[in-house]
Amino acid sequence: MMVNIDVNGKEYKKDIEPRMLLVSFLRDELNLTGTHIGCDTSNCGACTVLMDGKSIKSCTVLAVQANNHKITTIESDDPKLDVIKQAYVDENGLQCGFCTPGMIMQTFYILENNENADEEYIKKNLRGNLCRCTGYKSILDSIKKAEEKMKGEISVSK
Amino acid sequence: MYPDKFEYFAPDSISKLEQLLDKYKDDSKIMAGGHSLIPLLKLRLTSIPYIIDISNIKDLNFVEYNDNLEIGPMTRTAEVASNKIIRDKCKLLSDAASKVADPQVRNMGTVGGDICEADPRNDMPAVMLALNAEFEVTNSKGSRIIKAEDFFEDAYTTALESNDILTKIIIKNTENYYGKYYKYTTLSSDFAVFAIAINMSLNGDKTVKDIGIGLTNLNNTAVKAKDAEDYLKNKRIDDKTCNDAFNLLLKSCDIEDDINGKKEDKEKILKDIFVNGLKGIYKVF
Repeated sequence: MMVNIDVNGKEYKKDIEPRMLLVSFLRDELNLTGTHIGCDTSNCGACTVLMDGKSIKSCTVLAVQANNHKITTIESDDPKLDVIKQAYVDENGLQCGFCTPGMIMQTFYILENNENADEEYIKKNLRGNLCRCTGYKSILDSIKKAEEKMKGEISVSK
Repeated sequence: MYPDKFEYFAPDSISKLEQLLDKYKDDSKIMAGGHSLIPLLKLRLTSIPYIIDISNIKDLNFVEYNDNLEIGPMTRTAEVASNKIIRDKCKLLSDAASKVADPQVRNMGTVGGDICEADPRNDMPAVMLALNAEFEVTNSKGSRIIKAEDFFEDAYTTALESNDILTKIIIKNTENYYGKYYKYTTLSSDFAVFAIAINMSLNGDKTVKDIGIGLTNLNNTAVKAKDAEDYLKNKRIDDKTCNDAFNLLLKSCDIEDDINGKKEDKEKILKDIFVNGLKGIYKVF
C-alpha cells in the first residue's frame, strides 16, 4: 500500500505492507534509528514519537495509520529539542540511554502543552515512559531545567 | 513483533464502512485507535484478514450536548479527558478518561474502542454502566439502540454483530449528577486491579435520588452493581448504608486469588475504596 508520511518536515512516499509498524517504518525504511524499540508492547515508551504534535507509542501504531499525518522524531531539528537534549546532558538525565529518545520526545510533548508544568504534572505525564537506570530523579531535573531555559529564552526574545 | 498479514482499508464514510463489513463479515474487524487490537495482532493471539480503520470517518468523531451528552466513538481518550463539554456535563467520564493507561496511549486510544473491545480490565465499560449510557448501533439495514447493561456479555464479547458499528454514545444522566472513577492499580501496570465507577444524584432531603455503580475487572466482564444501586436509592449515605451496599455489591463480583493478591485482601481494599468513594461523592453535593 502506498503511504505518504511527513517525517520531520520531509515527505516520504513509500509502498509498504499494511502490517508494518510505524517504528519499523522509521527505523528500517527511513533509517531513522533514533527511535528505539524497547518492550514492543506499548509499556515502556522508548518508541515515543509525535503524530500531529501528540505523543504516541510508535510500536503500537501501524505505519498506514500515519498516512497523511505529520511525524516528529528525535532526529527533528526543532530548536526546542536541542534545548531539551542539552538539559539531559547537563543534568545527567540518562545512564544507558536506551529510554532517552522516548523520554526526550515525551518531554517535548509535556513542555509544548504546558509552559508551567510543575513536578506533579510532569510525573503524571511521564507515566508511559520507563527508565531502568536513573531512578527518574535526574530525568525530572532535566525536564525542569529544559523548562526554565525555554522560559528564559522566550523572555529574552521578547 | 509483526502481526500476521492482513488487508487494510480506511473508508472515509459510514456507508463505505457498512459496505466493507457486509462484504467481509466475520473476517473483518473495525480498528479505531488500535491500542487493544494491535497488541493482540502482534502477539499473534489473533489474526484478522481484513482490518478496517475508521479514523478517517469524521462523522464518528464528535462531542455534542443537546439535552443529552452525545459522543462519537472515534473520540480519542485524551480528548474525552480534556473536552470542556464533557468536563462540565459528566465529571465521571472525564475523570475516568484521565485515568486510562498513560498519555501516549490516551492520545491514540478511543472511547468507542475501549467499549467495543470489552476487555474486562478496560475502564470505559464500567463507566458506561454507571452512567446508564445507551449506544446507537448501525449497520446497512439501519440503526438501533442498545443499553449499556445489555451490551457487555462476557470478556471481549458484546452484543455487537459482525456488521454492526457503534455510531454514537448517548449519556442522559448528566444534569445534577456527580461521579468519580476509583481505580486501583499496581505501579507496574496501567490496567486496573479493579475499579469502581459511581454516578450519583440526590433528592432535596439529601437522600440518594439515583445512583449508578459500574465495576471494572471484578467479574468476567464489566458489571453493574444492580442490587447495591437499588438498595441505596432514597437512602442517606452513612456507615450502615455503605456497609449494607457493599455486601450487596459483592454479589455482583467474582473475586479470586490471583497475582495481585488474595481474595480476602482484595475485598478489604475494595470495601475501603467503595465506602470512601460513596462518602466522597456524597460530600460534594
